Amino acid sequence: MNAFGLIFSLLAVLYGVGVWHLRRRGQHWPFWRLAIFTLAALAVAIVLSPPLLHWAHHDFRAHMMVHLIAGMVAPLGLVMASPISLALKCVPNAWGRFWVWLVARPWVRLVSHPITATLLNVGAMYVLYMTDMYAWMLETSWLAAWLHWHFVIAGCLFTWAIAGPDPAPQRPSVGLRFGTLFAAMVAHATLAKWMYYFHLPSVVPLKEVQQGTELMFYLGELTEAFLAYRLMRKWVKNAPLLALTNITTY
Amino acid sequence: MKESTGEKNSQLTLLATILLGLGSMAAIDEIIFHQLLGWHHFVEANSSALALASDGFLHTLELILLVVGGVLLLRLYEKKLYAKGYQSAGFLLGMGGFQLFDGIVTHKIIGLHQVRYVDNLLLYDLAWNVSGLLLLLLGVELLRRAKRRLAANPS
Repeated sequence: MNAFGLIFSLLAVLYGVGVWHLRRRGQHWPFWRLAIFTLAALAVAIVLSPPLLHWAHHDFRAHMMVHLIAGMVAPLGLVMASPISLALKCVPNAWGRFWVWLVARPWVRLVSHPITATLLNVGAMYVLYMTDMYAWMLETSWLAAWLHWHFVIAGCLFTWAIAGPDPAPQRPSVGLRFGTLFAAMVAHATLAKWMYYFHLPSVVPLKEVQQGTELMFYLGELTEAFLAYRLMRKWVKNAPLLALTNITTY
Repeated sequence: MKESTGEKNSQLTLLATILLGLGSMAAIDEIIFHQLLGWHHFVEANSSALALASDGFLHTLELILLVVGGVLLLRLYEKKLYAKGYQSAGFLLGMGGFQLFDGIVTHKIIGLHQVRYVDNLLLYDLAWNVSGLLLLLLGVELLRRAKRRLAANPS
């Protein structure tokens, strides 16, 4: 077991303790949230474990699968389980005030803005795959470890910035978040096609690049489409267009 | 009051199902002709960076149309606001519309890719566009009937 396994197992245990704490106080917390958080945390711990990382190091298709699960699918579970809301219910009020103070800081607002989060997430993929960074990463273990952390955290940040359920003061408008998500999806799909056609990263055998980028194109876009579904679903429940017909009907 | 509501519901139902139809036909094309039959490929041999980017854009648009249409229709069902008869009309209009757009604009005018890379391409193009036109005409006919029914019974 490595640092990823340790930290994400610990997070899953902490989440479970939090839910147990709430239940004992008689407060309700949906079971599905516990389930998706545990599954997502375990998924990260497993795909970033030493044997799978070793495999991903030598096979680009495995690299892409690890990247998709740790950076796109698992963040959906981690963020949609509202871990911050759960934590704030379990800790003293002073910690809650600290959290409110923290997320109001200009630099936190800047980093968690949807456009910044997209640049950190999809932008970093362009840098990794279209420059020599991928080859450099294969030879440099600290860079590889740092990149894994980067994609897990940037994936969570992106998911939260676009459609996260946890409370945040002064969220950008739904239109801006939806537009940013659309742009991120186009950028992601286009990167996959470019990598396939221009054979990038060039150190990887062409066949592996082609199969890896098809995974990236189809599965990656599906996870982002799920994010679009969450965002639209939340928005449509308050949409004035439908609310109006609701008042005048029958 | 009731009439305008009925009209609005029918417009929203039509909008939701047209979006769903457009997205579904795009997905069907992608699954059948790309994945199962392999008539066109993930990228074509003499592509450009721009053509590939437009592929990325169209794939995203397809998924977003499915999501937006699906969420809208789900909401209309939840609120029991959907207009009967308009769903299939909108769905067929969307499917036929996409098929024709794909057959005429994407294949012929922009020339991103062809239906199939064979000598007698004309037959394939005809089959593609005629099937699109049939879907579209069927949608128009269903829409005419749905409108007539709404006019006869506005509630």
